[in-house]
Amino acid sequence: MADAFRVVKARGRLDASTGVLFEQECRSVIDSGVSDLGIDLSGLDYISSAGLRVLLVLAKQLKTAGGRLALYGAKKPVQEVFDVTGYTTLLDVFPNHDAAAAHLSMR
Amino acid sequence: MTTPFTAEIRAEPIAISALTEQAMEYLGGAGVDARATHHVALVIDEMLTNVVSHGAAPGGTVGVKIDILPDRVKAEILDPGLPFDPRAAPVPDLETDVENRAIGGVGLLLVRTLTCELDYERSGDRNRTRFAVARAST
Repeated sequence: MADAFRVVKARGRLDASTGVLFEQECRSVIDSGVSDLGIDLSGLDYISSAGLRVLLVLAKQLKTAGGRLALYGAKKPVQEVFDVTGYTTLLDVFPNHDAAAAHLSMR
Repeated sequence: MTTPFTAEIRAEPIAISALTEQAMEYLGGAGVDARATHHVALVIDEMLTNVVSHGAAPGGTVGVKIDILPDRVKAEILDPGLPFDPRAAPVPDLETDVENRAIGGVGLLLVRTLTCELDYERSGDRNRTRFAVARAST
């Protein structure tokens, strides 16, 4: 069964240098009419506070539009960055795709 | 004994990104665990990005040195920015929800939380920040 939400994969690095492009990529998906967005973090090796800021901006934009953002699959160091900064509770963070899908299937 | 990593770069985002990537390759290649590898790069990134945002001497260069010890990774950052003590700056309120959460401000929180040592001194017209991140015991 196809997911009712779109998924964008984050790969490599999410920092002050690469964050702008990733934000544009996600915004173009959102602007195409997507309300619920999943971001697959399993290929993300590195995130800085500038990368966190991009995720927060996207979450705010989706929430304003009545949509939701689900993050999933973070590697351990990235997950620790979420935990330390409070992003684990601030945003919807899940261990894997299925958990994110289960969350987004509820209204 | 691994040779220390040293670099001198211009304080600008693309150079900082390249430097942190090189630092991770260096640490990972030397067998440092994924957590320490990520967090050493992150602390350097946050400190240098802060110099760019708030304290940069235009066109100034920053120096970074990384040393691998058996139980931790030590690093030193020399920058020509305005005096800035990362131990003293305020950190954001974490108890707010998505709409009210201030964008940004978490960089320093990461620096203070993920390091096991954090020292600062003003050295002439430069900031000298020294920090360490614990390695996983094997």
